[in-house]
Amino acid sequence: MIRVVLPQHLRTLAGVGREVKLDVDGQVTQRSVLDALESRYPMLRGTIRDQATQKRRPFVRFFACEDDLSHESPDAPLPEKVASGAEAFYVIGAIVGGCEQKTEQVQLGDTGDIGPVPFSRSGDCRRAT
Amino acid sequence: MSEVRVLVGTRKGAFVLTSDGKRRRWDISGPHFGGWEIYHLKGSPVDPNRIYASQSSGWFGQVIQRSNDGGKTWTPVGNKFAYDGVPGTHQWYDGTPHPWEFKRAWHLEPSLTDPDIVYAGVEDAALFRSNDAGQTWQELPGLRGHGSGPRWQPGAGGMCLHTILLDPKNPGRIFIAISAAGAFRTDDAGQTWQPINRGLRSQYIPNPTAEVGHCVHRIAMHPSHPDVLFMQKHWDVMRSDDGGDSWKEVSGNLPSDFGFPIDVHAHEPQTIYVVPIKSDSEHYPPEGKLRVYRSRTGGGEWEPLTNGLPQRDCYVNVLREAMAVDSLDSCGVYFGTTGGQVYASADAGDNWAPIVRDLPAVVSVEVQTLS
Repeated sequence: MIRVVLPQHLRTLAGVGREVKLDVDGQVTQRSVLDALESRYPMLRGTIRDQATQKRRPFVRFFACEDDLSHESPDAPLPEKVASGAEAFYVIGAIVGGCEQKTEQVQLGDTGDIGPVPFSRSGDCRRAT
Repeated sequence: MSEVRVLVGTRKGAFVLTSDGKRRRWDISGPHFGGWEIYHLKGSPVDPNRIYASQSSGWFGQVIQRSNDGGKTWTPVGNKFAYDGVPGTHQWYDGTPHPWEFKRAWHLEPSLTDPDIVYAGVEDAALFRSNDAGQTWQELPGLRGHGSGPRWQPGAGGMCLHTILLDPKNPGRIFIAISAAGAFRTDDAGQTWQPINRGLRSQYIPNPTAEVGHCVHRIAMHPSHPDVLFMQKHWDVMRSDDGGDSWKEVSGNLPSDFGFPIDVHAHEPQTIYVVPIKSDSEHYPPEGKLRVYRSRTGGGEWEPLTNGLPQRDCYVNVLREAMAVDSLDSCGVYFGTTGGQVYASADAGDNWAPIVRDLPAVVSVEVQTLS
């Protein structure tokens, strides 16, 4: 079971709460997670990845296990703790102002809050293999 | 008993304003899609409870919403706007080739005969059509494939297709306008297009009378006279009496002929409205006075309409989609401002009052007259 945390606007659009749980077949990657997310919530198509190129939209980022995974290959395995469901995969609206302490609400520009800071404090974030 | 429903798109959501035919007391619902930019909402003339909305965000892209109950509830529908074939290039601001990239839908125009058919004008400029109530969208590629496409260039607000006029007397005829390519017409339901910019003169482009390249801000038509078109160009108010084949300037005595919206009285095809704006570098009314100008002669002679509008210290703008009329016996005229006010006149512009004051910046206003 994969846990995905969505930003507020996408929760509203999909009619879901802060976190959704997904079954993902095969290797757990950004692509397979987002494919499963969009399959279950088709209204999210195009809001996280460009419809034509399937690339991450410029002002959307992906985090998990204290790592910014936004520039990772969409086919790279996600951390084992994400694959096991111990940690969530975070879809984040563009962050303005950084988050040095990793404990506070992340500041956003113009779109509203995105909820708690998407960083684990629990250490090991090895990628699933 | 008649009812009027005003659909307002703003920078931070959509609002639905309703009143009875007296248009004195208004109920306001919203924000719908709070926090998102709502470029346009428009209802089907066949089924007024069918409303389409263009919802977009710099973060999360384009969403199209559909309501089947007059805006009470909404369902996200298809948002895949894929250009037909290899998109090719248009000109960028610096004159270099730039690939066509979808950014947002500026305008949604429901069919005059079928509530499931709706057209979308998008940025980068193209015309799409849905035959299934917004679930899927197909480009009408003849427009973008017109030979002039690689020479189109964006206006300051992007290269947007912002105006779609469906000819009620000729189902094959559609007029569209693009900033800053100009106006185009099809007579075969969108298969082929021709530029209709003869008579436009734009001093700010290399060839002021070029076939394309004019920054057309808005076109309006009265449904009983679809060959008569009125245009607010970047500068100049224009008129065509031959379906766009030729244009003549009718700016007349306007204090400024720069502006964005233009609209036509519901029952008087020669009565038109504009909102003069001081200049393209200032984007607020001349002298800080918010004035709608009305011409009862189809242009040329204009009178200021000021009763109920701020006549000092007013520095809002009125955007191209932000004016509309109702079709009650005494024609109502409505417009929204970037200051968040929506003004209405229930007597064709003689007297105005704000029906809501403190919305986010208003992007679009459409009106439905319900019986």
